[in-house]
Amino acid sequence: MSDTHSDVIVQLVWYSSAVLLLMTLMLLLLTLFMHYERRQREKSRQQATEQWTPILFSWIYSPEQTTGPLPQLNAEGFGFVVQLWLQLEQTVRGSASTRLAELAQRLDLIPVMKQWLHGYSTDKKLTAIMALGIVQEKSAFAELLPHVLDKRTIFSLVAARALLSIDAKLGLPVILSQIYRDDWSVSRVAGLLVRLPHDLMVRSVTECAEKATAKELRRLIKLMHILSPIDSQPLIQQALTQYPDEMELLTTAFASAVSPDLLPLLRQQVEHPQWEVRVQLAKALARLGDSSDAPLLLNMLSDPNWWVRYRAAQSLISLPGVDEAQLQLWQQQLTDPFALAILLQVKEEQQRQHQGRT
Amino acid sequence: MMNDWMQQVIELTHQWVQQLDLAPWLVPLQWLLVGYFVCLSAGYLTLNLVALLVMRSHIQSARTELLPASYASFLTPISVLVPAYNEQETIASSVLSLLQLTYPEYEVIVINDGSKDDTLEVLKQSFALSLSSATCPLRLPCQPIRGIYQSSRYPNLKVIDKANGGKADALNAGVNLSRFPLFCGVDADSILQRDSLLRIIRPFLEDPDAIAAGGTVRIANGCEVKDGLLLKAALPNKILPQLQIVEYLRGFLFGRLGWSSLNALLIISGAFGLFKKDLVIEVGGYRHKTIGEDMELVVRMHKHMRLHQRKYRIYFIPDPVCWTEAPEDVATLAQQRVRWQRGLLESLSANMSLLFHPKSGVVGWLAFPFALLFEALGPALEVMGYLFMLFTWLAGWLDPAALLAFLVVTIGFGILISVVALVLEEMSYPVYPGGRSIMRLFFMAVLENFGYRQLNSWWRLKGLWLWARNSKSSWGTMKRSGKWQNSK
Repeated sequence: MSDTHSDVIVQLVWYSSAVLLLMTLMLLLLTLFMHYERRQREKSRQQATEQWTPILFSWIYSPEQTTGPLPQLNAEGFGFVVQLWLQLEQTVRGSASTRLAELAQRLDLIPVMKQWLHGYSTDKKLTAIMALGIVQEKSAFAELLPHVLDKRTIFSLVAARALLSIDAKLGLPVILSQIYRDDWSVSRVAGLLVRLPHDLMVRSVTECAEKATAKELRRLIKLMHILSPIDSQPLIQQALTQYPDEMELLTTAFASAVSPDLLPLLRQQVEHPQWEVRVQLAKALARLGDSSDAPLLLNMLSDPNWWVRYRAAQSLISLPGVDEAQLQLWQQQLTDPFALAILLQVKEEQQRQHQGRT
Repeated sequence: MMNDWMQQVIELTHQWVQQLDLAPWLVPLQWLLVGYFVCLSAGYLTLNLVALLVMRSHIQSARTELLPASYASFLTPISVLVPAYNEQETIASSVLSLLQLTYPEYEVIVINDGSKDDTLEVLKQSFALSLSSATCPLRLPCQPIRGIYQSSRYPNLKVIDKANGGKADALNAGVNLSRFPLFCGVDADSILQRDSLLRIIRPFLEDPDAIAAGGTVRIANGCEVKDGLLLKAALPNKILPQLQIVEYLRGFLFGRLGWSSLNALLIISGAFGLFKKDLVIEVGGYRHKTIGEDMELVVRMHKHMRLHQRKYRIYFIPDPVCWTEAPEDVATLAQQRVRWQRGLLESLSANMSLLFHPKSGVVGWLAFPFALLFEALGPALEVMGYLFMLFTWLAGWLDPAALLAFLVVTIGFGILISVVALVLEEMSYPVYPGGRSIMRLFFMAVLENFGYRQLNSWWRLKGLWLWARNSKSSWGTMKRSGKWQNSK
């Protein structure tokens, strides 16, 4: 490299250093400025909280004192107040909730929430969906509908709750059309439907079940079992008659069975080729069965699968009216060594548990 | 006296260079090193710019920082996995802090990985553990489990006692026992912010294709901590942890944020990361006998998803969610850095097929080569650069003014990217109070260029050397005071 060439490069390096130094100092100043600005923002948030918390509480508990004008709010202050309003809303019921909805009207919340609904901020969007649901804003129903179909679980669930809150009858079919989404867990859906009028909920879920596949029916049985166990029995009946070979569906159905009316159908499955079904059947017989089921369970003690034998033994011991004398009698009658072994094992386990408790 | 000695060295170097006739090699080598520095700087500058843009949009979309409590019932439940090996001093307060997290539904599974001290006894006594009859399916291979314990005081706390198999093995055992669809790996010697799960769940709420998310790890030295909860963030008094604070800010805030926005983040810190359980099981879980099991898993997940052409995203969130103790002495720090470098090299070499694979996209064509060239092999080139400068100066080929200019620009660039990290911190979630903290961190950003950076390059070079020699991997003994766990 020639000397002149090198000099130019070195010169360039010095210039770059100067630019870097300048940029560094500017960024440092920017950092300090942002620090100052943030502190100011925190202060105004604190002030808004201090000013508005008593206002929100007096709106709930002393409505007669709230006739005067509300303090002015800038955009940032408005955001803080909406958050406060939402937090408080979650903790109150009845007339207090109505009063907070009135405050929302006074704050002219709805148009702003509709704006937020179409913005880019995730938090604002979620806040808007919730707020519009809470104030039961009918005009927002159509705007909220697409959010139920959102791929993001939280958006879809929060929107579903808002729709049900605004108009349960109109909203329910939309929610039911999404009920089989994998990301909507059964307990979450139950949480949504639990506030609906009982008859409407039962009728809608039962109607859904009429056209359900085995997988869907399994989900609906689980759902109904959480919401109203006794109303899940017709669905279980449907499962047993319509899909007798679907193992997962049958195990769910047996686990959810609470009505003795199902016993005749359950007993028919004693020879089911899949052991998982037989295990659940043994457990269901323990819950619902009577002494007439003892022969069935005694037969199951010789099942080739250990779990079936184990559950059958547990069920047998827990059948109503079974005492020590009856157990001794069965022990003497049993010829299969596996059946006898499992019965003795379960008997001993129960005695130990009993001793442990006493 | 010193000047005479220097003069002698310079003259000897002159003679040696003339004898060897090295001149034809020096120009290409010079251009290689300059080219390396320019590419590295361009890469970091681009990452900085991307990080600034991403941070801006992140803040706009998450201005209120936390989800309102009313969304709680819709949040996916999480299993928090805590592998522990010889953690008797800190395990009780760590677990206690985990049991106080603000999240609607989660379980804590502590995995005692065959500790030789009283970790299990401490856990048994502190949390009223009793042997449970629970079993867990072996979906991922792990060492034999000796027992599963359930706390009678905290229904969501379980402890696995198993034979020693390393951190990866312990995490696999935890995944096997976990009940929930998402799991979060947490280091036993770290503490989490109370709202950390609420923060890190966000990508999974907003994007159905999210498969993993990592958060920022901050240094806890100097902070006030009581019963495993962080009361007040503050800068430490010692210089070494302060230097590491600047380093962590840089590494997390622009490094990871930048790559995350390109969906090419290659590492989620083992100290705190949230993963979709099914997918981790699908890729075979954590790999045994790896130092950097956290990075290796993430790179393997990328490979799996890219090569199968499945839609996915791995996120990094800039929120400060996890606090950990930084080494306060040089020996421990050196040991840590050597280990990190080996972990990086192991993770990359185990997934080399991703490099320039036609289906590997931005990961295989950009992030992987960048990590390989500038982070894995970088220390060798950096040390070579320092030696080259010294050598050319001694040989009389480098004008002192030019040497000075190059040093100033290198140092200036180092300071600039550290200051960008300070800007990013201030933009996102500043934790250290007062303008004085900013000035102290700025001072550290300048200071680290005089010795600390060079030492780091040396340790990393040592890690590279040990990896190349394939010497046995081990965690070594990290010297931690643990005082910060109850500093108030």
